[in-house]
Amino acid sequence: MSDPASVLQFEVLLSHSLVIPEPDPGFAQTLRSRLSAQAAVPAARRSKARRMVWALVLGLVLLIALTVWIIGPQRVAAEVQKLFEYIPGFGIVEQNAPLRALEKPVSQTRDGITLTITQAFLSPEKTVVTYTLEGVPWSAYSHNEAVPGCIPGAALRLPDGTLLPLIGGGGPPTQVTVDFPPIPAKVDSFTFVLPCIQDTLPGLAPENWELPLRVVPAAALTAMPVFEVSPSPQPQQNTPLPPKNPLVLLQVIDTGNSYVLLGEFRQADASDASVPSGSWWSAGLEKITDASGQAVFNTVPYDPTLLLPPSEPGAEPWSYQIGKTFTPPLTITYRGQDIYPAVPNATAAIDFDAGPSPQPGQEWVLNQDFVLAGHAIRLTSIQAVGNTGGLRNTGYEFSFESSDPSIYDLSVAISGYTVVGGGGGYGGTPSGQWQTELDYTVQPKGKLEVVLSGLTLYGETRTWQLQWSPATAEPGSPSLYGISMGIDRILSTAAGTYLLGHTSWTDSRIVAATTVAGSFTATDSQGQAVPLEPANGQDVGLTLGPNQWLYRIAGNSFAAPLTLRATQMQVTFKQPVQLTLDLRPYGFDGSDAQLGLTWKIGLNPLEVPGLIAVPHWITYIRSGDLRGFDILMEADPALLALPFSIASGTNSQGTPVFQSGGASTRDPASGQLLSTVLTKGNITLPMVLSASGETVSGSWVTIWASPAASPTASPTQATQP
Amino acid sequence: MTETTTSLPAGPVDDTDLVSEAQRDPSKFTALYDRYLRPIYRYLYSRVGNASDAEDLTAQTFLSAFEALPRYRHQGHFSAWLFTIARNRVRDHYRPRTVEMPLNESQPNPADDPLVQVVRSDQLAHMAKAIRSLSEGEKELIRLRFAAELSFSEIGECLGKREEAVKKSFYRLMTRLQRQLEERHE
Repeated sequence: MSDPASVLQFEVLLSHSLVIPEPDPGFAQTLRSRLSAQAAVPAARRSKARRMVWALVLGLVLLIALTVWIIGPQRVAAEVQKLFEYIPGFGIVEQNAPLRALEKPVSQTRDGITLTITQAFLSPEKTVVTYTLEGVPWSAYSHNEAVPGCIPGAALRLPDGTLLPLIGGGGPPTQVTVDFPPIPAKVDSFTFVLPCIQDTLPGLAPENWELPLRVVPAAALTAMPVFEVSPSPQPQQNTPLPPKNPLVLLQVIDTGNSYVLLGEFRQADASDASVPSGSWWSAGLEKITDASGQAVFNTVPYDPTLLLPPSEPGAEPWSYQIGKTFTPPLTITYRGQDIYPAVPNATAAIDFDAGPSPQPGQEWVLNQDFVLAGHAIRLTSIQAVGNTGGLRNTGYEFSFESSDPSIYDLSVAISGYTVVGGGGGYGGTPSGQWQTELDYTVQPKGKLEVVLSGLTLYGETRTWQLQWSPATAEPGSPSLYGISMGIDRILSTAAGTYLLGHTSWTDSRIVAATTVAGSFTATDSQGQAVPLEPANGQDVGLTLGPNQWLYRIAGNSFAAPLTLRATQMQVTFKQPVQLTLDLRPYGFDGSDAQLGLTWKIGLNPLEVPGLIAVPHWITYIRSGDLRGFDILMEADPALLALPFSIASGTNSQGTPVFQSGGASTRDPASGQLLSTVLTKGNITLPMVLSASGETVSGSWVTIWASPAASPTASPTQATQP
Repeated sequence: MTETTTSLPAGPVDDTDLVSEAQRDPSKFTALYDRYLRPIYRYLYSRVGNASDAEDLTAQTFLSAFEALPRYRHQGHFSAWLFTIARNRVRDHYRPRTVEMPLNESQPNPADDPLVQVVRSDQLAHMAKAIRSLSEGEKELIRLRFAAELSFSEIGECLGKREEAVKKSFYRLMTRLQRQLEERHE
């Protein structure tokens, strides 16, 4: 049985899994204008006016269709195919689009609450504003679903008094990104209007915020290149057309630390003559692998703008974010199961008496068995559903069960009645039970004939693959950060053989890479492990450089050559990775009562060079007299540890010396990356955490051909001091 | 100079007040539109799975609500009334196909189930499959809760069920889905 906390976590996970686009700004504005216009028209004329508007829309659609037909869809496609770039917080835009941005952040503090407009982008299509709120007391929020807090309805007021209403957006209480209609190019100053703070109760937080904003041409935006992926070349004439791959990669965004792959699965291209007529595919991502077959860690981008609209009916868009540490080419594998209609389309009929006045909730247990196209199914019960509301429909819910795992679905109808809604559940579930609901304008009653038909079945399973390599990919297997090892000196002493070596790297985002003692091994030519241990330079009178290592082999009895392998590296970043924790809007007060509580935090990936790490959950913990947080992250498997220290957010409160620190490991229960920060000082939020380095896994090898095996290739003997 | 026809709510204005104002002065209906555009559009998108149809149905929903508002009586949540109109529009949207197409084409194609299409996560395949296995009533519960972001009370009114019953059904459903996914991972 799942506990309430985990169900809540699952609920949050599911809600974040549903990515539904916001209404298009142009559409929202147009519809708003239409409603305003409707309001100005006398009621009797509205219906006629509405028909005329729709006629105009239809005419426009026909005109576009005619244009496409005349000049040809390929030319139209070629015309609209332009280069794009991705701007975080705004979306994918055409390169060199005339964008404007906020001149500088603007803040206002009232009653201890600070509203800051941190970012604003303006394009000819939309306006996007990001604001943060700090200092809103937990007590100001509504905590009762029945007593909803304020829905702010933010707006932008132009100098001429025009109000541009909110048309989309959202975000956690601390950082909200909202969309507005476009602002005319000649307007560069306007006012952000926030009538109230989201979810707060009347009188408990300042209201009617107004912040003047000024925008300037966006000269130095952080824009990430978007690469259009060219389709495979078409075969020559007279060559049989190969089947189209339903798995299509359309665009790739290079974010610097990662790639975002955007594509779609096209149902129309997935079926061929070998599958039954009417088939469709229940398909999803199986895995992403590199050239060596290793799974490549992937995550779904948090930004909902990173999902292309379907290019055709039945196209299912997808997007995945991956690190840059794979060996190209990359292979994306989709797996799908065919769903097809049973043949013949057999029909079964069951009589059922609902009585003269069926009531919502009334149930009839039937347990009637029937066979459709050779498949045994039982109709277990029928229940009346609906209510007495004038606009709502009423109907019946039918419950089925079957032990036949090939059943996907069947359709249900009541003879003589036209269904107006409802839908089916599906068979083939582990329980073998499913329900179908039918809705009617008027509830069918009395003796009814239930007709069962349209059986659909699970068919064959198929996989589809596509490959992709970055345009700048180099052949071979790149090492993470370009790390490699080499041997500098060999020192033979009475205490054993000392191996002095170094690591080097090519990636400018890191400044150090050192081997991890427990993961450094040596094997001889027979594959036998040769015991070795880390040694101090002082043992042999050497001072080690910052990226040098020294290991000692006990004795000399091994068969050369010796293979030295490191499977872990400690890496130091050039720029620390930062994570800001602010749980104040979620009611964090640091009290003992909240110890053990877990909060869902942002899903934005951290800026870890070349690897993906996405914080998911944060738990308030205590260890002895230290308090702090456990941070659980979904992370690339190559990332073994990301220890944070507290950069700000703790104070000594009069104690001159206090301790704080962090640790990181893989959580054995979930397999996720766990980082812990603890402090003796008082916690003040927001808390800024900083990771100066990480531990990564890989395989780095260097081979020492010992003097006995190859005298000419032997490393130089160290000079004894 | 452009005249503004919108008066922004200066705080947590109740739906009842907005409806009353809009019934007295139709130009005030835009305040209700501003409040409900996003949830209505998101709900309809989760039903039809494409922006074009979602926009069409959103427009139909608000135009219908605008026309019917003078007849609206203050009973329960305005949102429930509005979402009932939206749900009926979806039913109308699918009805012509049921009549005009052969049986094997008239059934909704579960692969095209928009709710399944908008499920995106690292557990996409499993989550999508689990959601696909739900009854229509259960899917509707997810749409109204997550896409439309309605309260249990509003959902209850929309579906003609008591709030407590909706809450119980919802959490039973969450538990079952979670268990299904956990079993797949084991």
